[in-house]
Amino acid sequence: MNLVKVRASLNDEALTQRNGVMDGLYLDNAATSFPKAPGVADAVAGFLTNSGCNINRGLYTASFEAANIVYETRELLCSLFNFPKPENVIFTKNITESLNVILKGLLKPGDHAIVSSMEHNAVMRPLASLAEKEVELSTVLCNNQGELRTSDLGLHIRSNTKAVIMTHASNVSGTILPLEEVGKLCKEHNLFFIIDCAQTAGFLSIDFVRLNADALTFTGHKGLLGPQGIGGFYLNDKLVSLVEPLIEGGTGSASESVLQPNYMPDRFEAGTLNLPGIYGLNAALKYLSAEGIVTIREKELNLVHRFIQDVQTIPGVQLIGPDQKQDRTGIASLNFLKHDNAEVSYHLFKDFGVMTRCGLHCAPSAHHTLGTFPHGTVRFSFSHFNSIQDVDYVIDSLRKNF
Amino acid sequence: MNYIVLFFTNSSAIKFAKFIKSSNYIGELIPLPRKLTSSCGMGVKFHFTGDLSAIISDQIEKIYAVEGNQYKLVYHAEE
Repeated sequence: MNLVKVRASLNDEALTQRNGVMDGLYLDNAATSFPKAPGVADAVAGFLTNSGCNINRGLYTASFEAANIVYETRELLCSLFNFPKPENVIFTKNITESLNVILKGLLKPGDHAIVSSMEHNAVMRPLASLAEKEVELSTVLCNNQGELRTSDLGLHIRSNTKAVIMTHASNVSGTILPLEEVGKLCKEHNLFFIIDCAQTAGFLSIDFVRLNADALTFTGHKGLLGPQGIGGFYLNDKLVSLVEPLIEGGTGSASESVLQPNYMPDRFEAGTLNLPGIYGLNAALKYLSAEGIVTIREKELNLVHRFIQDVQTIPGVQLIGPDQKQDRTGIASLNFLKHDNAEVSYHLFKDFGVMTRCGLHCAPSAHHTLGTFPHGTVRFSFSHFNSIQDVDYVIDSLRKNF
Repeated sequence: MNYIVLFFTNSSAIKFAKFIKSSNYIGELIPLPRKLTSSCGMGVKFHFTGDLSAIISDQIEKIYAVEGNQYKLVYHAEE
């Protein structure tokens, strides 16, 4: 493995981030992004080194400073997603927790919910568990490229349908779902529209109001380029009172009462928040705002398009999901017709230092839809910190061996 | 006149402190004196000469006017 070559191909900005340089070429950004945005590590370390205190408890300057950063981070998320109210932004440890809070807090026995067949297990597992408690569930089948026809969704609406829960883009195929159409349909039928934007936050421009969404869930450690362990969700006022909190405890407010306060954000933020994570996310959001989502998207798409174009000239390689000309996120999933996908992924790392993810990507339903169950795919997920040279290096590696 | 504003939530206090700062009023976040019990422990003390109704929102629980070492309740949100 030629590590020098791989390292030299990373751009300067990425390299300055990497004090302990990862060996090899990381192409698993859909799982978690690396490197993080410049300034993230410093923000986390700075908080722990220089301040490190809690908010809403002690009332001293350092605590107010931390409280201000937390509030500012809510505001930054409002401007990224066009959320109307900073206090309705809730921090959690990740999007899986966000989805659990909302789904388990909202859906009651007898309620009906609709999802697409491209959902991740972060949506499917809580719903499967709710199904055992008599919540009804319908799955709208997408086509073999992962695409959803909104009219198909309409066919599943019943009198007891309460909510539609949908991913913005598939973590397996990179297919983007037509959320604007779905949001419109939900509005017409008075259904709550809950969005999982794990794969699109920081990549697509997302407008909560325009999408007619009622709730949006996000994670900090993927496209938002922040640290692991910080995520969150947004609820509109209508849902705030309907979603029962999953976690209750100290908030530093209404301390005379043993009842969880109904005020936002305290209603859903019992216990000490992940403040180092919020400091890191704050720095990441400022980077995204300075760099611009559009610029980041164009860079990533440029890389993934080159990858797709070149990889399809290699015999026995099947691209899964949308074809070259269609919209997608910065990922490409491949099925190797003449090899075991897991072996390809293993050799890419062992022999070439290329890190990919193989298997089912926690989304069995999506693989059933795409026709890749149970063998799975090898997923290449790019970051805008990657370079054209990185793409060419992977293509060369594949051409030599597979 | 100096006022102390009490809020239902800490977030509202922080939001109001930001508003005070951006409007160039003199004021800051303070730990609330114990006799001004509130839902949350922090408040905003600030100097203001205008009509209070201009700054009242549904996030404000109470407003006290500070007169020497006395606090006089001048606004209370309806239950």
